[in-house]
Amino acid sequence: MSQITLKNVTKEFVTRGGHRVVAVDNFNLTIKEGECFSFLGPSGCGKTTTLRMIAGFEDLSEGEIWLGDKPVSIKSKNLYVPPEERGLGMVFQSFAVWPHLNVFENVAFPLRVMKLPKHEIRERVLSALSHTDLLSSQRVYPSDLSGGQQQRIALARSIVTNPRVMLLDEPLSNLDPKLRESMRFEIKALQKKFNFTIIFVTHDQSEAMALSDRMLVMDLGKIVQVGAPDELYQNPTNKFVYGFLGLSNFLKVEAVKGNVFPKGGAVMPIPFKLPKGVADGDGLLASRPNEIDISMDADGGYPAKIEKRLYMTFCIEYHIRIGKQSIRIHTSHANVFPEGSDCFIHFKNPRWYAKESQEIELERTERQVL
Amino acid sequence: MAIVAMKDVTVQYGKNVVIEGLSLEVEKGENLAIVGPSSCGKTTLMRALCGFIKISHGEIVIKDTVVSSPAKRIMVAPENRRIGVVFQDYAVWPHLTVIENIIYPLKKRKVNKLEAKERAYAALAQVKMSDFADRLPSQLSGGQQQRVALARALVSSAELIVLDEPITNLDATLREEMAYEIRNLQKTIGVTVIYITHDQETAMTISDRMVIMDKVGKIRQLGTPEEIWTHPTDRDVYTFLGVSNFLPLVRDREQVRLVSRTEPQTIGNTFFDIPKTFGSNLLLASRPMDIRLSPLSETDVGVVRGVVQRVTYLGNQFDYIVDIGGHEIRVQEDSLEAFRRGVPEEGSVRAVEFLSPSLYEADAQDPRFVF
Amino acid sequence: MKYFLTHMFQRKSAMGDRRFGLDQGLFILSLLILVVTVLFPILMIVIRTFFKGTQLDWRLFTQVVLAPENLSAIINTVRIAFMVTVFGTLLGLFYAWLIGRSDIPLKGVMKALFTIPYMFPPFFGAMAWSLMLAPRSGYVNKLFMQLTGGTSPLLNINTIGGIVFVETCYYFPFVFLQVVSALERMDPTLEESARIAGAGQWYVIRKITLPLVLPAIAAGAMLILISSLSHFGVPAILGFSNNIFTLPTKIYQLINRSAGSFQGIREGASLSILLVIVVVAALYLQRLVLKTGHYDIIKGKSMRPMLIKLRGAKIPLLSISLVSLFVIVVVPLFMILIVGFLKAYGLPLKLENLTMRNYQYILGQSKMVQDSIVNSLFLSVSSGVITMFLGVMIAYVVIKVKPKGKGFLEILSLLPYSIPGIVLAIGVILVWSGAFGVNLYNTIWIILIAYIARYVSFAMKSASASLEQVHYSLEEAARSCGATHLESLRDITLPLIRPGMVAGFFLIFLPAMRELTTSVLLYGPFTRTLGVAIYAINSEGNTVQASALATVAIGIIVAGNLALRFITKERKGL
Repeated sequence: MSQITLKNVTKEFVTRGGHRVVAVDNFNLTIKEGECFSFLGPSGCGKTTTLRMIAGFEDLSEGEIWLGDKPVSIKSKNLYVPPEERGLGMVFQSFAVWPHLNVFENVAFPLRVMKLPKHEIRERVLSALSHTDLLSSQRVYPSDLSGGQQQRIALARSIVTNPRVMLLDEPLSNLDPKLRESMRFEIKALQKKFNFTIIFVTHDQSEAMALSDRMLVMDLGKIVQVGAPDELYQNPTNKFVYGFLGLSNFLKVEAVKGNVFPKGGAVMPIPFKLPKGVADGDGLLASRPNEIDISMDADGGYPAKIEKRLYMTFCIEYHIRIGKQSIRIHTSHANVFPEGSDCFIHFKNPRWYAKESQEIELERTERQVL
Repeated sequence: MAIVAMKDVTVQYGKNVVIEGLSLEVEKGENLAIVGPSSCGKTTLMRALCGFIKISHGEIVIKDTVVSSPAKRIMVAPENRRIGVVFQDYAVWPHLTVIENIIYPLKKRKVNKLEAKERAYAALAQVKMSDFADRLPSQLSGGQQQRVALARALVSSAELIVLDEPITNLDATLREEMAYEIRNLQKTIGVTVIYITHDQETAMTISDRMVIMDKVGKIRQLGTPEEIWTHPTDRDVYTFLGVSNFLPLVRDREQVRLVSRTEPQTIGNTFFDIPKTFGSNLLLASRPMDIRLSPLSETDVGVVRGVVQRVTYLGNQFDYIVDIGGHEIRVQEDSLEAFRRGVPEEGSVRAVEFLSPSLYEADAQDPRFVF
Repeated sequence: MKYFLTHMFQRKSAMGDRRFGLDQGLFILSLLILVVTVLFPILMIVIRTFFKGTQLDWRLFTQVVLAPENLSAIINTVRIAFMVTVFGTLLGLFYAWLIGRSDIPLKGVMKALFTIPYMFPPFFGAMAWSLMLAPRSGYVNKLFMQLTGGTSPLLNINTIGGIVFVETCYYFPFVFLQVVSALERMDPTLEESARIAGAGQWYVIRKITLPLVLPAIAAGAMLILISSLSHFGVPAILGFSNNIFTLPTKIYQLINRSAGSFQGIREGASLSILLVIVVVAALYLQRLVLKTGHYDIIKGKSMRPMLIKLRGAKIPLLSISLVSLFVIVVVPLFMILIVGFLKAYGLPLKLENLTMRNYQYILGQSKMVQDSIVNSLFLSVSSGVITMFLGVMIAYVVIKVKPKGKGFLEILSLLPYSIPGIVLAIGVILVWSGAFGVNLYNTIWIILIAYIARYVSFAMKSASASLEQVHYSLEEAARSCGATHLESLRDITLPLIRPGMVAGFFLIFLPAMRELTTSVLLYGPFTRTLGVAIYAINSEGNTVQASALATVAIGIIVAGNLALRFITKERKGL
């Protein structure tokens, strides 16, 4: 059993200014055995704190954490199992490989702690090194290796004890973009091979989507939405999740008698059906730049004007003016329209969201500084 | 009219040649991006233009005045070149307030105090920093400091600005925002901008023309972003611009055959206009988003077949690894499109179609041709 | 040499042609000053030792080195230094771990207490401990004999053990500060990943933490070793009466006894060379140790390290550290303060025995003391100002101009670090007492020159640190805004390093104010310094007056430190 259960987990901090911050607010969550589960959110949302509570580096202010059927932290009973006895694997953003030990010794460390016989240590280290493509650099010291190789050492070190649960704390953010992509799949391949449960903390939505079976979006210490990547991408519950999961336009609109008008004095309603239960009033029409079509013929499209055309590597970007607002549209390189011309746009998959209050945005930026 | 002309410029430190025989003209009012991998000499080029380093050979002319020429023994001091510079690290003076930073160049140019103040506040407004006039730089974020540096460069010279983009600026949205802003300023004020960056995406979005430099400080290609994207002169430029797939082809009389490790695959050469000068070994270059996968029908003859190895959902798009005759390629598809056409399963065989591919001659020792 | 100078500036200058004049001037000036103040004295010591006239002559050196009394001084020096290093390192390490990694309370207070030994010269400590533990007259020993009724003292401070104890008290912060800062900078995930790998707290300390801070420990230990090897004050105060000599005190004795005779100075010079050899050997050892490990352990994310819960050991450990800190730091200072108010040394420490007379005498009547305060103030302020500007100039040349000879310049300016003060003093005497037509002997100028040579390394290091913060582009930005080179220096560079310069001044002013080692060889009838005056009064047996004067010095030093702290705090705003 390697399922992980969090019950009412809460963590409070007191900042230097004497300000009380609820870093993690009443978490209830079950991560299933063998699953790859991501915590996704902006910096300061509490995702790393949650992971560190599971690892045992942070105390809980309230609640319980269970690994399988074994409790590891129960605040009310003052029960706390130290990290070394939780039997977890963990990889850190900063790699945390030991500079005074060579690659072999780094990986052998957990086995030496267990006082295994020499030949077994050797066997298991070599096997871990071969899975991470490090066999040829056993005797090398970490400082002579690249960032990617150092992170492989950390991976080898965490799989050598064959843990049932692997905690990954932004393991790829210190690598360059190309490497980041290929390492994702290495991690996934290791999971397939060794069958451990992964908890993956990241602020990069594409990383989370590429890797996870289920993911959780956090904001301001709270769980906002949990689900499979495609569920979340296709059905974000609020503006924050929508904006966090991909490039987005938020057109300020106003609903009048079920018709949706862009703010700024437009006469024509946008062809969009207001979802049930939404009353008239101000709101946001969310759309993704790649989910809008441009054409030169009316054909039921909404009239707009091409303000600017930018040639980019993966697409052509148009800045389109609608009344006093501007949105971005990405199309393939095949669609070239002149700047300044009138055009018609089609929202293929728009969504309606309520506006977010300014206080929330302010709190979010403040948390990032903390 | 060219506002800057570099003629056969060489910069070397001792025996180390950083830039060799570079010639470049910058048109008045344009936005020219100089882009290349790190340490390709683009920052050296900027420092030579601004007068912080001497050139070893050649000539630099700004507005018909020779400012650097070892042959003529001319080396105009940086303070007399009248170039506004935004440095990589912004170089906003930490002991002066924002407005003092911006007034400084006017003070040095002996502009009278009242006018200087007026112009400084105007420049501050242009970069949307009016609310921060009396702050110290330490109270500003990196992006805000960059705006201050830009305003200072604008008052320093309304004609020519050189902007060296920070390498460590990891925040993509911030970079993008700044790029738009600079483009707007350039269009409204008409200032000539030379923008130095390592990021080809920024260069493409920001510039009227871009210069691609290679590792040894040579210009590989010069043109509008669209020209360069659609017609990269060589394989290196092609690779530098973004993720690229290369497939080995062999020309066999009128047939073009894919070099396959598994089964022979023929590509009809109807859509290729193969230059006569090319040898028999060729590389087909294509971008991940310019490749289309479709279900294989029984009747298809002569299509390229690929096995879908890996399917990754990234939200706005799907990312595939496809094996074509033992060569792995990357393919990307817009996710709405993919759902409409049906997402291929891992292990399935698909017909692979290349939209607007480029063709390059292969090196003799290209490993893709070796079995 | 001519070739050297003309080719030095062939480097592609960062600033174009006009800059050459100014930069070249600064370089040559720095080089000249350093050659005269640092290189000449050292060369003169070598020449005087090994040459008789123009003839190479080893005899003096071998004679001096092989003299039995000098041999015993060598052995004492090395023995003391070794023990001080071992004990100081252990003590420093213990406190560093307690403060850096345990959940002991009152960390702020303890850290503040640790900076106190840093501020005061160890010879004050020697005086204070001898007030308490001198075999017959020390207060603690007297109390002990009263209680036991015996005649044997509890402890005798006038022994090698006593010297080691006092030096340890003042030098352990070297290791403490190095290790605490290494622990604070260390990436906590290095330890956390070991915990996750299954290792318990103590295992992690042994296998991960200790090896990683080893370079810091070695660096601190070497600082202790070198400081102790060249230390004069403590063995002078505690050792003379018992005929315990170390190399520095032996050199002092030789010069003092010979009353400035040339032969005496030559013998002193020979011993100096020996001392330098020992110090250089220690430095070489440090190189060897540090070479084995140079790790990058700086942290990435800002995280607090997991603190080790002391649980039941918390209260005992806290008491032990507070009591030991109290004994090491507070008691000696208190002792000096009290004795300064005593009517006569030896009287019981009771209220009715206290008086202001000592202060009235030293501050009001003793011309010698008044002179010494004026002299020290003059010397500290002037050497502080001059050396600080010199340091800025050299640092500017080394960091910004980078001429071809910059390595040489850097070595010259850092050389005084490894030259014991007493050796430097002999070199200065050899150069400035008429050998080159200038005789400054017995004037205050010779002391000033010695101070400048001695503190130029401090100044250079502190100026380098602040200049390195001023990136090239800040000056270049000014140039492209229309400022000339000189204007960019005036408007940008100087204002930016000004706070660093003020701090640098105090870093020289404070040690100069209490300086003893160098001035004790250089002072003349009217040019005693504060340190010399205290030392002299104390040696004459006027213990109460010496204590009063030491209290005055403590006052000046504390005021200076407060000023420094105030200034460095302000600086954070930049």
